[in-house]
Amino acid sequence: MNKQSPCTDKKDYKTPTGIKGLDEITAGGFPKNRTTLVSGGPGCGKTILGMEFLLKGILNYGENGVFISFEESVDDLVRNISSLGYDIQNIIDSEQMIIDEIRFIDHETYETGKYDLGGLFSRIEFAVNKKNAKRIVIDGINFIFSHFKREDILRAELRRLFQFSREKNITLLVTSEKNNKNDFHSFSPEEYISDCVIIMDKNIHNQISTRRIKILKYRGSDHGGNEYPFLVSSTGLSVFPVTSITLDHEISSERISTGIKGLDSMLGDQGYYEGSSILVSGSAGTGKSSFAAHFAHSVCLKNKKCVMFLFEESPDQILRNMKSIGLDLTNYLKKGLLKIHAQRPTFFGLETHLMQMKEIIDNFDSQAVILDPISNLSSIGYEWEVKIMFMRLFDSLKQKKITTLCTYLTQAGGEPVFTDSGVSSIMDTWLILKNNLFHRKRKREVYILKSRGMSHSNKSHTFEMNQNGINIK
Amino acid sequence: MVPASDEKAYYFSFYVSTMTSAAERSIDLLYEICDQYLKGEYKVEVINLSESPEQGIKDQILATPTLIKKKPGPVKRVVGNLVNKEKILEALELDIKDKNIHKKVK
Repeated sequence: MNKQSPCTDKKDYKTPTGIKGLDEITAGGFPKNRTTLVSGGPGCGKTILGMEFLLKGILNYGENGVFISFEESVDDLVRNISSLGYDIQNIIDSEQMIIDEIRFIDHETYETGKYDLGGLFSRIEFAVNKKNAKRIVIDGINFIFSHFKREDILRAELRRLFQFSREKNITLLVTSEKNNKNDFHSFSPEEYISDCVIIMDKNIHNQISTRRIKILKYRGSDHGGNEYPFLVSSTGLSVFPVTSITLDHEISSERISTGIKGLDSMLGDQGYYEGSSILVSGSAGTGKSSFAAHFAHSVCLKNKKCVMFLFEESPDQILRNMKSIGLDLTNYLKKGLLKIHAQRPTFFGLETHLMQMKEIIDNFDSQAVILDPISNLSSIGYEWEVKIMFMRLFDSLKQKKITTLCTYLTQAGGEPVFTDSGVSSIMDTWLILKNNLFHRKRKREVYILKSRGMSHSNKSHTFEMNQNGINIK
Repeated sequence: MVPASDEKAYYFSFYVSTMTSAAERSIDLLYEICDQYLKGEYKVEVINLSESPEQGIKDQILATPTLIKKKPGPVKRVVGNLVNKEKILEALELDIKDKNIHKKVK
């Protein structure tokens, strides 16, 4: 009965969720014909997870589903899930799915003798038979515990429910609301008897929320042991496994001009490598954004596409400023070669930023990306989180051979060798910009701290910025 | 039995998932209460959810057995096997003319 053979063949033991990233961390999906419990505080995405599990089952795997809702009304569910781009009404109308809403209409319930949950079973069975369902979601099972008093009976009935899914060959997902959201280690009896337990959590750091998912246990299967960030975006839920940080991407020996003649010559006369990551750091007013804009100009000049993400200035502001040094970027904007996306760092959590940037980059099909400045993003997460986010972003950009240029604001007069967020080690080329006072005049300087895989200048070069752009001597 | 339209009539629905001996005893006890206190002005309907699951969905039945006093209002629900006459009377809040009811039960 209690078969716990290790999973040798994914297909026989797992029901794929079809949810981005979730199948990766569960090594193929939820345990087939068994019970998975999803537990988490209010508003952390349990209902959406359940709904997407059913919808993907219908759309991707031809398995019909039953959704038993203790929490939300059918109308609310349909409205919420439709906003994620699913035509759920059509799916319900075409008999592939049933949403059964359980309402505790009568609070004046009196308990006398022994009882069971035969009514609940009967309606689940009725719905399952009607739709020939292979997947069931019971959303908000905790409501049963607040409605009925006999916990011993309820727990026994839950065990019976889990058994029912095995006998009927149905994969069951039960969600339960946990009040003590940070307590990952307190088991409830349901968690002991489920085959897979998933914890969802919503964390708030510096007033920005980040959602996390963790697999607490998975009988007889490998699973990722970390907490994984996940996102509920306009297209549904996606989990980000950090495991994709590999070092096996193909590298390019093609070069791309920096857009500044003197800088090209500093970099072995040819400029940056295509698909590499470039960091331009310096204190306020050293010309970081101008270096970035020159690069954008150079990319577009070659009829290639470039996206600029601004975390400090508005698009109009940067266009005006760049015009003053002779760079007219508006033309490229009109031509569709350049895209400028301005966003306050504090507007979203890190994951949302990452996800959004990825989406924009993919949709625009760009060959170069500029982030100006990334130092602003460090304020919205813990150091390691920021580092991981950048590693994931740069990694995925490198895989796609997209050249990335980031600017970084350092403290005035501060040592250039910073290790903030550990971002520097992921960078291939690192330019340092400085302002020095010399005979009561500001003298601008640039030098290359490192540039992997090319001969480069080891001197500090002075430069000027005027209406003709950056001029390196 | 009386027509359901009769305002004064009592209307009970008793839901079971399978007909067990405990359920049968509960039904017997329900009839006994009705005969004793409601002077024939009642209707008892037994619904077996394994035969008519839709009725259970309509009436939002989760636990079985469940007894619902549908008429007259307020609607009352009693969950579990019916074993104790006094408790059932208390739960259903029957408007019984006989003031000595509790003495009789005891």
